[in-house]
Amino acid sequence: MPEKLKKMIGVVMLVCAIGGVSCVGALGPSVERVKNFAGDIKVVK
Amino acid sequence: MSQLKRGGAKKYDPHNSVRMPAARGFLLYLLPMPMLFLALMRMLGGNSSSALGFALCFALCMGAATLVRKGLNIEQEAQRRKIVRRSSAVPYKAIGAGVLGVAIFIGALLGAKITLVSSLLLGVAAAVGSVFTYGVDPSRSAPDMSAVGVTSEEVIEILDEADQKILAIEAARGRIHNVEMKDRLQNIVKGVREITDIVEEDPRDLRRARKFLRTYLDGAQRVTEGYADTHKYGDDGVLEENFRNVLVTIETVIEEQKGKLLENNLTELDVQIEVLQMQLEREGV
Repeated sequence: MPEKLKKMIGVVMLVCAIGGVSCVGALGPSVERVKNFAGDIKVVK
Repeated sequence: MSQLKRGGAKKYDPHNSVRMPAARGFLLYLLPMPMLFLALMRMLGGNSSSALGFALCFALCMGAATLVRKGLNIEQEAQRRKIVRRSSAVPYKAIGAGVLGVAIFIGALLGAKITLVSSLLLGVAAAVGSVFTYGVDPSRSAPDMSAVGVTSEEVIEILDEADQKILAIEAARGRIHNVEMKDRLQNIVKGVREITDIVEEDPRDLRRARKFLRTYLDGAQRVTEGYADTHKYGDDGVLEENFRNVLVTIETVIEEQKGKLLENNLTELDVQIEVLQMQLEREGV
């Protein structure tokens, strides 16, 4: 594998892994709230 | 007629041959920054386990970034100094990648509450990403890294120290007005530079030059600085004579040291020639 391609893949992997955890961490509570809200709607229905 | 295109020749830049790592490894400091923010937010929101996960993840990421950068610095210094015989004693980049993997695993599992399998995958992705981006530490079993008994770090450290001492001697020399002493000090600096060049070319010589570069050069620096400081208050015949004697001794030691190092290289060459000759005689062509 060419060195440049390997580095690019490495950077993408780093950004996805570290950024992914941050994004899920940041959005997690909001998603949970939306889920709970959807659950409440179902219950009401 | 030259076929060189206009602007085709690059301007010589001694620092360009090896990329400066000032910005390398910076990504590892930058990317985990949101973790700190998330840890604070979770702490304020009363979710202590998640806050602890993010805080631990952030701290480990910073540690990993520092380790990777240290590995990169050692690699760059070794390239600059042409020392490629043996890698660092500690595989900083590999340890950094491992720590980063663990950090992301903890952050994902405890902080972001992601499932165990997904957290593991994210941790592995981070570690592999670090290895792909920053490379691996040179293997000790690589053919060009014979066991020389010293590591790149040791060689770089001792050569850096010697450089500092040479600069200090040169600075002190600038404050001395006696022409004879200045000439002698110039010879000493030249000799020491030759010795550091020999060690840089073949780090195995460090075993023989270590005492000289650490102890004697240190003494030479202290004596020269002391003489330069007292010399400005007026010339003292006895002091001058003593200083001259010391400089002569140092010059002699430098010549002996150079002789020893070169003799060692010649002996090695002799042995290699002898071995080759015996091999040719035995096997024939």
